[in-house]
Amino acid sequence: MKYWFKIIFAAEQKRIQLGILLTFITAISGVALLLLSGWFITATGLVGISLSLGIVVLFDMYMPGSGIRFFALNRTVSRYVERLYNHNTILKLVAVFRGELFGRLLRLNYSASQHTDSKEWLSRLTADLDALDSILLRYTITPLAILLLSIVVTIFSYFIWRDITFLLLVLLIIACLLGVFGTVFFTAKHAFDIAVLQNTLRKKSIEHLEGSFELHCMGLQTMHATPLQKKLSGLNRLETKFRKSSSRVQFCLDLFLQLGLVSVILFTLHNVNEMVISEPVAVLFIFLTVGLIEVVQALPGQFKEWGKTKYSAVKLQHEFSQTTQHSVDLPATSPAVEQLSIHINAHPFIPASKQGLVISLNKNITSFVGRSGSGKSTCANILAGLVSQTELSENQVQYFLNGESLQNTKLFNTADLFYLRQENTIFSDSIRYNLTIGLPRVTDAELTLALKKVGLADWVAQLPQGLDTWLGETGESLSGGQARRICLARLFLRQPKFVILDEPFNGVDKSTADKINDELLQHFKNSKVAVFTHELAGFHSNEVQAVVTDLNLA
Amino acid sequence: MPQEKLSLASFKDVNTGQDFLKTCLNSHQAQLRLAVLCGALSTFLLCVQWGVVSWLVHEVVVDEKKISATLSLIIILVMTIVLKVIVTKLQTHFSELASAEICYEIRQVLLAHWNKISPCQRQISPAASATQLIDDVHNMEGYFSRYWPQQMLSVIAPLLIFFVVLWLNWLCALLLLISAPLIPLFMILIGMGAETVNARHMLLRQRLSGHFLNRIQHLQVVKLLGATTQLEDEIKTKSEQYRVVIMRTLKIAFLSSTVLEFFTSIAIASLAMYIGFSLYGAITWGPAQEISLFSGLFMLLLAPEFFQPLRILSQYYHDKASALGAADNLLPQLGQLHHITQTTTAVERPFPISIHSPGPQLYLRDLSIGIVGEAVLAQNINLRAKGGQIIAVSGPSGIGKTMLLNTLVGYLPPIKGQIKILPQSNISYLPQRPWFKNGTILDNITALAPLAEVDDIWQALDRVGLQKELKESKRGLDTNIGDLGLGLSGGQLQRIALSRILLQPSPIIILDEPTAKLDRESRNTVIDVIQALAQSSIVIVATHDHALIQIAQQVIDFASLRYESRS
Repeated sequence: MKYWFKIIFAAEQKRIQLGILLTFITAISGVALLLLSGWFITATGLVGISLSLGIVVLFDMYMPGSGIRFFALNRTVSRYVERLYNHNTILKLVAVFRGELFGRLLRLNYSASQHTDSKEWLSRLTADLDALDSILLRYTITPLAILLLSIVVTIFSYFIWRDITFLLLVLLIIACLLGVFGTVFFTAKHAFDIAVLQNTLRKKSIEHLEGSFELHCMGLQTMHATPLQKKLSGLNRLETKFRKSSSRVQFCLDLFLQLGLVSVILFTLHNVNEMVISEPVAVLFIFLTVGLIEVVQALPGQFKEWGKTKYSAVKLQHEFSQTTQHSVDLPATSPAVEQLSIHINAHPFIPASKQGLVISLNKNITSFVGRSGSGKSTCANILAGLVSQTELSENQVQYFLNGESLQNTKLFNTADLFYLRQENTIFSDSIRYNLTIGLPRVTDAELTLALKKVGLADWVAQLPQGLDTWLGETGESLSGGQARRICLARLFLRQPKFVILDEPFNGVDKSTADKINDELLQHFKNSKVAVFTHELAGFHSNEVQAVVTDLNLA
Repeated sequence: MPQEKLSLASFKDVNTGQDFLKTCLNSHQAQLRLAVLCGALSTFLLCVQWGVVSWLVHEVVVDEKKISATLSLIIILVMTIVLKVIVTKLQTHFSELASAEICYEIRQVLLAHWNKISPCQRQISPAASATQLIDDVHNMEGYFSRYWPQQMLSVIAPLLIFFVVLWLNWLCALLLLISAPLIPLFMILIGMGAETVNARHMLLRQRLSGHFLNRIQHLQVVKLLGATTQLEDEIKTKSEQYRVVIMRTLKIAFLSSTVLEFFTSIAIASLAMYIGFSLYGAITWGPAQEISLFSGLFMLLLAPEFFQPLRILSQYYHDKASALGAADNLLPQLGQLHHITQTTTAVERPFPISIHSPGPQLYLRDLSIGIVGEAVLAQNINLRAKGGQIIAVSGPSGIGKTMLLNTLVGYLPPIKGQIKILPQSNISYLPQRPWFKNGTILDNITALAPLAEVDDIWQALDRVGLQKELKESKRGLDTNIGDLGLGLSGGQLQRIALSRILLQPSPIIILDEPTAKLDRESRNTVIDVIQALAQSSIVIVATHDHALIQIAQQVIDFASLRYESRS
């Protein structure tokens, strides 16, 4: 939590200070409205009595009247402005954090990103980050504004009537301590535990549901749900505990404040008896206390989420404080492909590697043929440098450059390598976005040319929104073949030195595939191409020097 | 009043989110009404409290009494205050108790529903279901514990205060009425503001989440395309756009509560002015002359309390909106069950059951499979099988083999025809991608074979050829299987999954592509195990593995839907 307080404060110091000031103005206007009204009524009442007795009293009714109106208006306006302003501050910050967090996710290396759970990251990017707004709105601005209010009230009462200052100060200090620390002390642990349990429950219920295909038919569904059920009642117990302790704190605070009010009333009225203070001043302080109570009373409600916020904060801090150990610097120049050879030994997903497999790309086009399950995609990943730490540490995969063993698997600059994976990746965005992603500037003419090469130009031309047509879940639905060709079109917008194609024509009909095949050969005359297909006829080349590696087991 | 716990049956005739919440409320009426009663009582005590305070001030200031002479008033004040705090605590106690019970019961209902519904019938992903169980139900909490009681109180409490003020001074009461011209109008105002904001907020959030998820899922490709920096900027821009839209909606949302705030302030200010001027003697008409310091102070103290319940309600409004959203989200899932139970009515013709056959028997008659109302994948499948047989379902991938298996298990209703399994029994099912949960090998085995002892497990692992490997590994059965099956190869996982069936074989065993993705050696082991399983059970196996098809006694060839029996 401290970590986030610091970061948030450092990032938007000025805005936060102004936010506190606005909140303070709102609070003090409310208190002032009450105390001035109380004073005004008592004063006029007394003047009225005097007048009816025939005593001439000079009393300006209009000054306090306009004061009351001013505070009434001020309270409303400043409350509105304060809420907007502070929300804007935190939303701004969260937007920045979100960008930062996503950046970190992007810089994870292959091993680490294989272990990432996209749902978990999504919850971090949304729910957890949103939970941070409590840190500013609830835990920073509210208590600091109350602190300011307390200081001003103390100074005010010190100058008007010194004797009550002490009483008010004791009341305020104890109430704030109880409201802030009491709440955190008694509820934070429960709230944190609830957040943890909710997270486990979420994971456990996903597991349970994923198993339902096997559990259901065995009649084990209910039995397997028993631990889940126990956890649910555990959650219920925890939540009850949490509610009980938070309402207990609120109860203590309420009782304390109300009894404090009684003592203020008695103290002021006693002093009226003793002629120490005038009647209107006495009522003023009673109303002042009423106003303060209203403000302080809200503290437990503000702080009872502490434990929950802490849970999110801890989780996020873990991501943020990890220095970017993941990123590997890319080489400035990619190695000459002729010198690269990769040894694959006893890789669990590549049966052919049992006796050892060496991949080296010394010709322009190298074809790899293997049926499903022969580890084609794994091979393609290895070629592209996407290997996990275990694969390297167990020597399943070894890279050799000029005969020397390599540790760094980031062999190629992204600009030099194009890897068309077996699965199609369509971003939910426009066609233009899907084609140009990762490229600095592409003209529409270039896009149309690339689309023409994959035979999609006519299809795009007849779409009402053309290149701006939305694709993906919420947009135009694509057939498998169309999606494949969009992915292929990305290729024609680049000139990489090294190309890996994994089942390039998946889902594309034969005649179109042949056309694209020719275009590819033309486009990559000067590149090294590795093609993975399930049958030899999957990719044809007229090159004499094409080599075929058979991944099928003999 | 009699209270029944919520169950699946409670939601039988529920069609809208509103009804859903109402049903939940009805099941805990008593506690919630008690909470409202406590709230009303606390308002009453509040009136007493401020009345006593004002009277005390009046006594001392106007009548110049000694404070020590008002002991009885002070005692009443302290007692009222203590009582009020206690009653307020009781109010939260009752409402939160009710809400906790309701949420717990909804969760139990959901869980029971999960266990009942066929996995094929589930329309949302497990992750989305889990979100419903945890988050959606959590979102309803505030509606039961805060919004609903406050909704009642926001009518009762101002009314109570209005009558007190009316008793004191009818003009001030009128002033209050004018300040809050039509309380329902306020509620509508607040409601409209909050609702539109909530709806837009939800929509935006969903879109943003969708965008994030889409990009996270394609992270590898983003990197391969060299779009890392571009995407970082893109996320920042999206977040910023989100902020701008949220701010725009917040401006409207806060406005409605500001209006309330404004009227509160205005009411206090104008009451203070009116009372002050009356006391001063500047106003002489109407009931102004009857105002004393007591009634003046009393009314001034009551003025903010008149609006307080409404202000609180406006704060709670988002509880209602999110509860409604959650209920609307839950209902379609719960509704499915009732839908399904209606469809399984078919006229049965007697089957030629051989009573003398000791093992299990399986009959398929004129079976057509597919998605009801959409597509028929295969027609008129007929089959008669008994224990000891292997039935292969063959054909290229994507043709509907898995759908046939799902129909056999009972997860999908047949479009036409009948399936009969005798005697009625459990079925062992091994899907193409066997299920593994995050836990040890032992956890994963006992999840599907809960009766297995450790010795049996080692024996089963021996039969699938894993005993040696696992005994040699450091942690043996305690080896952790991540939820993605990391650390173990696909072949090893497949064999662990098979060992679960070996430990607790059912009379009918259904295997979906058990040998795909396996190397030759593990494939042979798996085929041996399948033959062993088929000694007493009927084994139905979907495959395009020739070795497997060869050992089958009967083959359902999907490609031509040729049925072939070899005896």
